[in-house]
Amino acid sequence: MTFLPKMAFKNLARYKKRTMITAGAIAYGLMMFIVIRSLLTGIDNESETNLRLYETATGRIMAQGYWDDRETFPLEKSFDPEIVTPILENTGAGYSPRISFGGDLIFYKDPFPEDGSIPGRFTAIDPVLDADVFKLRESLSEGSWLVDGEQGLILGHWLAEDIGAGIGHTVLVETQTKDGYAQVFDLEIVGIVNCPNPEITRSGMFLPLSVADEFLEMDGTVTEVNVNFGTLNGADADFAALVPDVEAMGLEALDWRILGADFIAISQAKAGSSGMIIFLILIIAGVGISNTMLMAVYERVRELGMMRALGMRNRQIRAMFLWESAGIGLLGGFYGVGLGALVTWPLVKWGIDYTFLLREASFGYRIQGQMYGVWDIPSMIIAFFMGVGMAVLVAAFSTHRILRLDIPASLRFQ
Amino acid sequence: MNFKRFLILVITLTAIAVNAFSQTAEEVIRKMDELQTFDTMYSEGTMITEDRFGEKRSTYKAWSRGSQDFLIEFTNVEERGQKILRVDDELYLFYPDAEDIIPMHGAALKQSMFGDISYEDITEGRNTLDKYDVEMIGSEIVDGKDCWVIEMIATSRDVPYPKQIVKVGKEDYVLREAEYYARSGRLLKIVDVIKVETFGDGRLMITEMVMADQLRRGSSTRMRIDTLEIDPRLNDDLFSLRSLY
Repeated sequence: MTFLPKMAFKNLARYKKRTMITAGAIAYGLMMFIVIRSLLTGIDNESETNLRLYETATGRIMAQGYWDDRETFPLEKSFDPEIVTPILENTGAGYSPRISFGGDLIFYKDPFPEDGSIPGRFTAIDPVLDADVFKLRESLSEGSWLVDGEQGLILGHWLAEDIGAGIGHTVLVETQTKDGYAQVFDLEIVGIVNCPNPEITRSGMFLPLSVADEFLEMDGTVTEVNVNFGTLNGADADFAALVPDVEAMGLEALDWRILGADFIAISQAKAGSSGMIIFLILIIAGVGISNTMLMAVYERVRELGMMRALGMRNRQIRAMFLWESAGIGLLGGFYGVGLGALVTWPLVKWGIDYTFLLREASFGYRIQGQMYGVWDIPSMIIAFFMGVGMAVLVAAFSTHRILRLDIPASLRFQ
Repeated sequence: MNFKRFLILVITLTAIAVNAFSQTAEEVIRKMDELQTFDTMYSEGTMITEDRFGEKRSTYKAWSRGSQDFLIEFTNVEERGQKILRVDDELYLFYPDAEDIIPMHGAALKQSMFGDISYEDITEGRNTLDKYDVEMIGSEIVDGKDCWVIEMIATSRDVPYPKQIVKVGKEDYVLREAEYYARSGRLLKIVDVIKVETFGDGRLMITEMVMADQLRRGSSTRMRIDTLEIDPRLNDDLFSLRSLY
């Protein structure tokens, strides 16, 4: 009963170099799979959290049609936030009215390093209520928080660095009122935020809601009310329950998945790329194992012919080779998972600093600076069994070819 | 004449004077619009923008009909074939590389068309009195020309600037200078008329002016008409979306 496994083990030991090379190829593929899955899952989880904590909340209430025209910042599609606050207070959700508008930030040499202007999106926030929904205030790295009625501005850290902005510097905002008239007003930079969401750090510009209301002549209306039910599992369901009531008021309510559609698209593309990685690993493992197994088989054709002449059956020979390949697969699996865990550990603990890459370009992910991995145990288990399964599968094909020769032909094989 | 009669006379004369002054402001603006409005017009020109990054030059051909409709086609190498059409109070852009027509609305109109000139700057048309309340606020000498100074306050939401101050020549009713203000009262842009030429039937036409952005230091755009043809015969199809392709 144990004859075949023992013989397979002896064969593996006899061809140590070959065994180690094949197992190494499998191990490398599996390690890459585990590490990449760990990083992508980590990025995905962190991005989702940062998206909800700094940009979308659980969902957002807007005037009908606002979301479709959002690129043009249609201030005329605004609404009185008071009409939704009673139902939001009944649900116990945190809520934050905001006004989003487009405009140019204009600054001048002294105190800035040089004159300039940058177009961007300004977000007017309620300095008190916003903390019930977003974590922006906790990300303040310099200066102070906004004060209702004071013409203050908070900038993202990278944006402030790019334009040479500092606390106390004055800028101009050129935009349009709700009625479409040209408008310009002064703001003083009072704070700088450095949060884990790169979209905010790269381009965030925040001012008090009351200031925007006055200069944009909004008459108390806002372009959005953000709603927070937390980031736990039931949050989405709580928000979904709110939607019919909101729609009955002639408004629309969209959840974070729609609001963060760019990130969701990236996340789905990632699922596709994971599939591609698995496919590549299968090819690496398949080519490596099939090559080694073919060599093993062809080196031993005469030996196998003699074993068959002595009475060993094809089934037993095939089984012996499958044991051998399973052994290689096991070795590769153990090594692969071990190496994968070894590389994942620092990724989980310290992460990789990708600031230089993420600062210059947006990839849709909402992570900034450090990319952290996660312990993705299901992926490790999948990787292990995938290694063993692949090795056995490829060996079955290789053995089948040699067993088609008859015994005399096998004995004469050069 | 007792004091009471004297007071009534002063008040009456003041009222008449104010009324006359107010009518004059409207009349001046109406005449200014009339002078600059043609049944049809064809022009070729150059726009030169200067800012801290240097100078950029664009050339164009333009066709206009009445006070509202126009078609501009850029002819310089970098922008050749790009077109801007204003018809039925709508503005459209055409990019030949994309072969696509883009309607411009809302905040998109604030984007720069060329240098300091935004799309909304070119959409005002010349029916000024339909969109502004005008008031004579004084006289001023501009480049040696005696001008009326008229304040215009927007009454329509279709205009980009809530307030303008225009300085119009008393002799020729030609605009000599204009100031554009934001809602907050801050001065945004100043237009200086550099050159006025006489054409065909003796009508005066602004052929060169400079628009200077007052918020961005050192940024200005010079517009110059190099060739002008007044009342040419234009095909109606020219002012349609079909003409963009």
